[in-house]
Amino acid sequence: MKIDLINRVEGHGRIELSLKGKHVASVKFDILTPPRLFEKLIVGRHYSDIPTIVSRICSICSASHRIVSIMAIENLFNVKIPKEIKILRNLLLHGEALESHGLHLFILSLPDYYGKKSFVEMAKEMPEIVSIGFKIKGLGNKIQEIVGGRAIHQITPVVGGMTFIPSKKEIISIKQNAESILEEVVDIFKKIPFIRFTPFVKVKNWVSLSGMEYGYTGEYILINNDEKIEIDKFWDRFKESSLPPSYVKHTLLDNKPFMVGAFPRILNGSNKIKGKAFWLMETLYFKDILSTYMNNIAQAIEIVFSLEQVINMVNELLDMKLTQESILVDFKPKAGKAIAAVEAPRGLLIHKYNIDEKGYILNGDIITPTALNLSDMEQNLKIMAETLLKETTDIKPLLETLIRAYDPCISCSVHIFNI
Amino acid sequence: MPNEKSKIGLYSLTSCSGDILEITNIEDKLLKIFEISIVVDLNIAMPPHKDKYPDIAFVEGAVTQSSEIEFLKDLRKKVKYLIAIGTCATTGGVIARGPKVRKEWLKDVYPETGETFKLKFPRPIKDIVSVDFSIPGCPIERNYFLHCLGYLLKGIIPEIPNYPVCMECKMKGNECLLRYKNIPCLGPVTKAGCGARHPSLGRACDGCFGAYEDANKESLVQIFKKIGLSEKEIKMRFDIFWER
Repeated sequence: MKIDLINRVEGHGRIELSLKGKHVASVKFDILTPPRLFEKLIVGRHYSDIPTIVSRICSICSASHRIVSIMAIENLFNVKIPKEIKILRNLLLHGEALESHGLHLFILSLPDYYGKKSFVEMAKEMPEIVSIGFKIKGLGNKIQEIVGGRAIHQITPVVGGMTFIPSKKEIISIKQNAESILEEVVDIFKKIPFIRFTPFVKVKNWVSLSGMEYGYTGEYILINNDEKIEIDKFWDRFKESSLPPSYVKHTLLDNKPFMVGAFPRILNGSNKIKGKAFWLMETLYFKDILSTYMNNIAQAIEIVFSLEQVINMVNELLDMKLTQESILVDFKPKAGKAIAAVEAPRGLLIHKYNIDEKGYILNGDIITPTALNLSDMEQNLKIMAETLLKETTDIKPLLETLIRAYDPCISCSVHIFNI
Repeated sequence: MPNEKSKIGLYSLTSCSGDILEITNIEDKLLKIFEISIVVDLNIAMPPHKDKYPDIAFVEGAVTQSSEIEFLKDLRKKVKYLIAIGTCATTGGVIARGPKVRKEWLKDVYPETGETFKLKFPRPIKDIVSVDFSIPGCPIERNYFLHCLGYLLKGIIPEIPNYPVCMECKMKGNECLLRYKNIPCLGPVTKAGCGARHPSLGRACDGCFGAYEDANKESLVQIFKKIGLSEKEIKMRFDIFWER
């Protein structure tokens, strides 16, 4: 049985199940978007072109790819980035998360919760819900445009700083926009009938970046809210296996699948969430429930978290009284391994490059969240298919909702590889 | 106004999906498009419509697989307008590099399975079927798309600007990066339409809209030499998007 071209996901994917009666012999989540070989496209290029090229790996996560690649290069070159640049880049990542979560939750996932085929059908009966989705997504894009220069494939962040600093007026408009929708967004999340509990598909192992604060940057990798590892030790702890004919490699932790994304971030960092997001988490979230579907609730909590963070960050920037047109610090290229990680909206993203003494790329390794989630998705698809087959043969729609719960980003997922 | 609504299809080949994502960034106006036309295909947001073929097809992404070639040939026969959107669809884009070493790359990246992939070198759509016109950009500009859509719904092929980014940059009153800061900007040889996004933000234009008709590349190469770029640096400058 094949479920061809899953819709309402980014990129082209297909589920393939082999059935023996009511038993599932094998399951494969097939990535149909072919390899574009970004890891090879960057070889021989100057470091200054890398952020521009790798951002094209994925449109939805273009800010994450751009920022993590800049961070990796800055780590190697020992570039000391001033605080205002760190805040602006962080603001950009929150903008990306609002856009991505707004799109995924309201436009792609919510039609499932209301039994509708698409957001267009939903808009006819509940225009206010779809409209809030577009407001969240729109604010995310506005932030990326003001801070990054464009909603997709941002322009201003470069190795050494930012080539353009937004005006006070523009930064204030971000804050006003966030304040104006915050209450509305919290209210709507109280009303949405989330699928709260699906006992048979569970998160067994989870991984995210972690650090002093909750967010999209972090200092170390945290496994199951217990084991800390350094970012550059990722390759020692996680092992890859290639399973043909899928274009994507599978990554395992002690030979077991694991999940990355919004829910793993909350499982690892719920104690650091404050404000209205904390209140919403207490209302919507049950600590003992590890259902994969909680990922959508986690995205809702993160949307509120980002709205509040955006307001805080703008206040901080206003206190700093930014007046420069650009902020670029001096540095010298040097040879070595450039490594950094961020949390993209759909989970852990790591870039690693080997760079020569003149600043040209020798090789690279890009670890994307959808590729990391692949084994967990397949394992849970199998469990879900077997459970559903006991009662019905019409299992396609529910398997698609499970895939969507992971928020896969298929463009991204085709790039995992070894040095 | 015609009584029958036009049917629109938005399709994605090998790409980052950025052009279709940019179209969803029209936000609430996106619903307006669903009011004034029938959207038969938009995979990221809905299951396909019962009417399989649109009147107007917008296609993003480069062509890398035989299934995409078959898809385009079939689509071309059934639609009135076929429009390439984005740089990958118009030139092959950022991924159309390394024609001679591609097989080795695949083997290197996927040691066990690389040889089994039946992938072709990324090509623009116009290499496979005729296109009525192209909307360039990495990604496209959403307002540029809306402008073109408005014309097409009335059965008119829109005119696209045939002048360089410099025109838009001047109109914005920007200080020239090339002349005053020796920054190797591709604005003088690149098609306008983005509102000079990069130069307005202190960065050199990367040329993602491609060459405009009368572009004088050689003259710009001479200027780049004068400001101290090596042959290799000049080649790489043009090699991200501007030319294949």
